[in-house]
Amino acid sequence: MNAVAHYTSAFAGSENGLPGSAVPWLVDKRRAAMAALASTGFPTTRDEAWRYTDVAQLLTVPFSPATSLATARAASLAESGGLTDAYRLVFVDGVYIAEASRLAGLPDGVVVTNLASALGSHSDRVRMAFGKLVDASRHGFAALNTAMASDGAFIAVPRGVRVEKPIEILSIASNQVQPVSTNLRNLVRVEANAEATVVEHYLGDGNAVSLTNSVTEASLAESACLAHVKIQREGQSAFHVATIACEQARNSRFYSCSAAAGGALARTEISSALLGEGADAQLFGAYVARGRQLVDHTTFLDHAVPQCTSNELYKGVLGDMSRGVFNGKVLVRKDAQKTAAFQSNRNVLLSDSAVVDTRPQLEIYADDVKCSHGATIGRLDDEALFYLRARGIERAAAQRILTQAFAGEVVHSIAHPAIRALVAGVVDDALNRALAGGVS
Amino acid sequence: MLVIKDLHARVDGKEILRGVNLTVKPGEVHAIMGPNAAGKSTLAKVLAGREEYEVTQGSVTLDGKSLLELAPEERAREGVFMSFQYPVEIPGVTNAYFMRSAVNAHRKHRGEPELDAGAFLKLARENMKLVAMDEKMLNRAVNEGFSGGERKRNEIFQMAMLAPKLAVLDETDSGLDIDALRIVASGVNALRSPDRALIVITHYQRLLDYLVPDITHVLLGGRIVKTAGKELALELEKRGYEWLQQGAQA
Repeated sequence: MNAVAHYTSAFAGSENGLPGSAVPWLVDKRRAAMAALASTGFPTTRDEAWRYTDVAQLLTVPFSPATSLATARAASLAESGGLTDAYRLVFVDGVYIAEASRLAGLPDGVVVTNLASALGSHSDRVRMAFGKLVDASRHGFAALNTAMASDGAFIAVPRGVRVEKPIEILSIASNQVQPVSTNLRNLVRVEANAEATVVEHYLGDGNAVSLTNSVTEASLAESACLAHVKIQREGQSAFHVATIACEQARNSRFYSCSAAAGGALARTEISSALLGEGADAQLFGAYVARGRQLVDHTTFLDHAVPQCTSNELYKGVLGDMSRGVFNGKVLVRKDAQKTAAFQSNRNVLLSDSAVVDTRPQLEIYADDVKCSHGATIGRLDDEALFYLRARGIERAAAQRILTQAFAGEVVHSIAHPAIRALVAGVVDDALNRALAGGVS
Repeated sequence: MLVIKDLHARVDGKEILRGVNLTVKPGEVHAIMGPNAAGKSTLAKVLAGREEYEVTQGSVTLDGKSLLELAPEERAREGVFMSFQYPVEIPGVTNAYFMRSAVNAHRKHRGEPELDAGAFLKLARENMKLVAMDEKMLNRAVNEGFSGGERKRNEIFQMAMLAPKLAVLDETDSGLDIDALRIVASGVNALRSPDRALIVITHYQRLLDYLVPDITHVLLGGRIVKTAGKELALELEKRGYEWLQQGAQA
């Protein structure tokens, strides 16, 4: 059975159990998404944005929603792996685990809940947001998520409220025998002058074959500020496809940092539409791969109006036979004068067999703009390595110091100290594993 | 302490050192002078263990232990320090983190406990005074945006921190104005001791006014062609190297 047929039948079998199965607009949306998937299928390397990321292998695995859950274990994993001082929503294999979640003490008016609950309690807001920024036409995975989303986070921060503590969406792929798929749909709305920090944290429990296919839609009102950190550290056999889309009103600020360390194939697509003057998007990413891992970051920034700014810095360290992909596109529309957009992708290859495909692209239709882009692919600096060793530092330690410093530029962009420390730990562990494969 | 016998080395297939013999005793300061391309920096790099330089013949021992089989980090921990002619910038790594890693690698090698942050800072502060370095330099990335003088002072600071048996100063005077030169030289002088040897590699006599050698060698064409006392440096300043070329080609 091909993948589309497999998911069509999986959808038919599980549709009635999905949240909102009695909500007509959602039922319609899910069915339309499934129809879109059936007609267009999953992306292939013939699609521009998927040219270097072949999902054919992923599509041969018959992933299904989980049928049983190890909730007690999830709670302990969430405690040991998650942020200590954060509001938290925990999902295991796409199912919300209330007893492992932690939502007490939220500021007045702030809503942090799971999507299934929000369909009841905040139905109009869910309806407005669901599918507004990522619809089924984007690609097959977005269509699959729209059809099959089992749950997700619903976060709404009212006007003028600053949520001090991070809000963590912790998704755990558990160690199931059969290949399990997780489709989370996260909706984030930050109202005018409000601020929040959201962490999407993907953990794997063991090395089971799993598929995480998440979609996050974030909407920022005037002068709103959202820091979004994504940590991806699922197991070696995990497949991971994430689509994050943001829209920004005037003077809003969107900070995004993606740390990718796990998975056999991990693709993170991040886009933002800068729709109001003065909006600013800062996108950062650090990825570390080894073995035969493939890590893809695909970004799209749409400068639709004048005087917006954006900056992108993605840095990768690739060992063994791993592959790194960066597809970054900045569109500056005709009216978007005084745009300042900078984009940089830098890579260090640890081995002769590691590969990077990088395509930074600027598409500019305005004439009064400051834009630049660049990409580098290199090796660890021999001179620096020798300098450290000449002072008595072991070769392996010197390699670790240099790669940590390289990725550190991205890690240090994270403002929140506890999140920064968590990401630094994840990146450092991944670097140690990648370096253990040898440097040539 | 250091014994170099008939050392031949090449880089990119080209023989640069063609039979260097040199013996350095504890407490001594040796100057190695010579024109460009004589092999001075090659000698420093071979001693430090730079892998691009291939030793084809000869031996180098420190206190009877052969250095040539050792990795650069092992040589450093055995007590060899090279001050770089062009110290490298390392973005993202602070001087403090770098030096603490280095000092602790040496301590581990000697079987001593690692220095904690407080003890490290105390030691670093003391040693920074030797070369009039601002404490803020500790939190800056290694050599990043440092002036020529700051880089060289940073080298001597590192030497002070690592307390080597043998220090090889490769063109430490290059790119320094006279004030910086004085500061660097006074730092090095403060680090002279009866059980520490210094090899000062330089193109000009200028540095040797402040850092007075016991013995001066001329390296030419990959060999040491003349050895004398400190007065040789002055003579070279007056006469240049050409009068020695004859001997080198023989």
